[in-house]
Amino acid sequence: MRLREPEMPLDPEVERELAAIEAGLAGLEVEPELADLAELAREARGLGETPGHGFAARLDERAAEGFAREGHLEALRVRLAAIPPRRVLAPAAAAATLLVAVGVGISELGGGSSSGGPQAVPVEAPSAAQSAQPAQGGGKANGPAATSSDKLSARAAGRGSPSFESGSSRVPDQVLRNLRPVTPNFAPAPPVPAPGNSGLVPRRTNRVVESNAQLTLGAASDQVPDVADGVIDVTHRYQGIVVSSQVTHGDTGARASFDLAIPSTRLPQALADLSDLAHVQSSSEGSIDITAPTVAAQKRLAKADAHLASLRRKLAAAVASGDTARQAVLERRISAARVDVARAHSALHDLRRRAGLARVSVAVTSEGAGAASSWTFGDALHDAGRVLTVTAGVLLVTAAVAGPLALLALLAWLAARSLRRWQRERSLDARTGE
Amino acid sequence: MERLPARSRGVTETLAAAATEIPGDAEAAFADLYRQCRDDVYAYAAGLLRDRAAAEDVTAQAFERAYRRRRSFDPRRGTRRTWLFGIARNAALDELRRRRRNVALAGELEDVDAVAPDQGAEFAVRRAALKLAIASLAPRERELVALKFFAGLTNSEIAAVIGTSETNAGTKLHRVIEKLRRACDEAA
Repeated sequence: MRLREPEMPLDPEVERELAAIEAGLAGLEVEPELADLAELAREARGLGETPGHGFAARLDERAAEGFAREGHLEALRVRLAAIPPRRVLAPAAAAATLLVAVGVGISELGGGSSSGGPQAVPVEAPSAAQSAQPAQGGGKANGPAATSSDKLSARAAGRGSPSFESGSSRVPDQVLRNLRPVTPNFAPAPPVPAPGNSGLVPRRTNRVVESNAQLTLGAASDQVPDVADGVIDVTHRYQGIVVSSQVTHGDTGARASFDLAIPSTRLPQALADLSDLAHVQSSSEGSIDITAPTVAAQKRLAKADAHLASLRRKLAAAVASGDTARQAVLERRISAARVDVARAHSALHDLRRRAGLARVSVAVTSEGAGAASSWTFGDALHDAGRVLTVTAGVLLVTAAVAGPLALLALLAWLAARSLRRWQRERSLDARTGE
Repeated sequence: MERLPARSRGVTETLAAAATEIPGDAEAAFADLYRQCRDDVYAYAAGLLRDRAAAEDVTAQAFERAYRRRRSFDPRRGTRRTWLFGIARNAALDELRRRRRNVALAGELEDVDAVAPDQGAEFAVRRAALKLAIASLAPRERELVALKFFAGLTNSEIAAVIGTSETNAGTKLHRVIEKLRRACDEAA
């Protein structure tokens, strides 16, 4: 329907003639001067066509059958159209709910992340004095019952890993020898300059980075030993070192702690495997750029080597000249220079070891793991809240996507309808007589 | 054969229908509507399209569409009759738009049957002139003639179908009738 045009009052003469037409069509009496108009109306009505018998019969038959269309698709369409909406809505709602629940379940299983996200915590670089000392037992036993696990002891003995004595462990001497050169009369190396004191070497592309990580795992009290075994397995798998370990059992639960040294290149994989051992309660990773002290140590070593070489040349000259007094002085200076070289070499090696091995602290605790293993009403409320939140999020995103599309579709439909109406009206504006 | 005054029946029944209650059952209401309006819809389509085959197609299409939408009828928007003719009008205009030429109605036999023996040659001349005048009308004017005289719609119903006010519909109808009147007078 087109928009209604403004209402205009009928001319009285027009109204009179229209009334005469109506009267003529109804077979009523009209005024004499309008009789021809009434007759015209009756004659015009007589020109109307009537449907043929065959067509009328066919149409009547189709009307009686409800204008049924042929074909299986039409039968299917009729059956579908006859289904009450409530019979479709309930299964559709159930399917939608099931889909949402499955989606939430998959996302929960695939997340598996701890409540606290990983946070980079800068770790202070240990002093040279600390790094020069052999790594003793971690001494991290805090509880009253500091007894170790027999299983851990057996594994440690069998694998050659650190032995456990009274809740502590130490690094084997062989490891220490591999970490630093054997030098008699070894004096403590000077402290390594802290990062930032001697510049950051900004133009250097191969950075030297010391990595560290901290991981706290939660497990049931009776699972702590197994998880501890897993930590050792993972460490050895990636050619790491269990620097220290401790397992504690008590009335308040079980606890294990580890200090690991894992090759930096394998740290991500090792952390992933460690995270798979139990529920991750917290994790953090950090790093320190030690490029500047490494470069400084390299320079120091080069300088010490050069000085030693210079003294040796002077000694050779003194020997050639037969100056025994000078020879004695030079020999003492050469001894001191050798110490300097060894010290510089040790400092550089220590920095490289720090970059090559990442320190990882792993704690396995049964505190709070009991709550995680059993599902309480509070957990149910939390999960229900999460489901509702996710559902609301899904609906919101769907609405954000579907809303504009629906609006576009509506606008397109309105435009198509207006166009169709215009085209229909336009078809009446063809040339006269067509 | 004397021609029965079919069109006045449609007018009075339309007025009567407005005073009675519309059947609650959509199926029964559609059946009543079909019985009342089948010939009127065909006459309208034939009058507008001037093609018997096209009129049959449009009539069938109109009733089929109306049947499919029988539950969507809203009495607040008009009577069932105007609703049906709105559907028929759309179908007819779609057909009009599709066709590239009008085929003359094979209705000469109708003329022979429609003229009573006692009506004479003058009537035949007048009738022929009227028919020619109607044929020469623009489609929009011819539609008004078809709605008013062939389908038997009232002025208010015509206004509802074509989407205008009753006054405007009456004014336009009057203009068309004046045209026909002049054509018949000139022929006479």
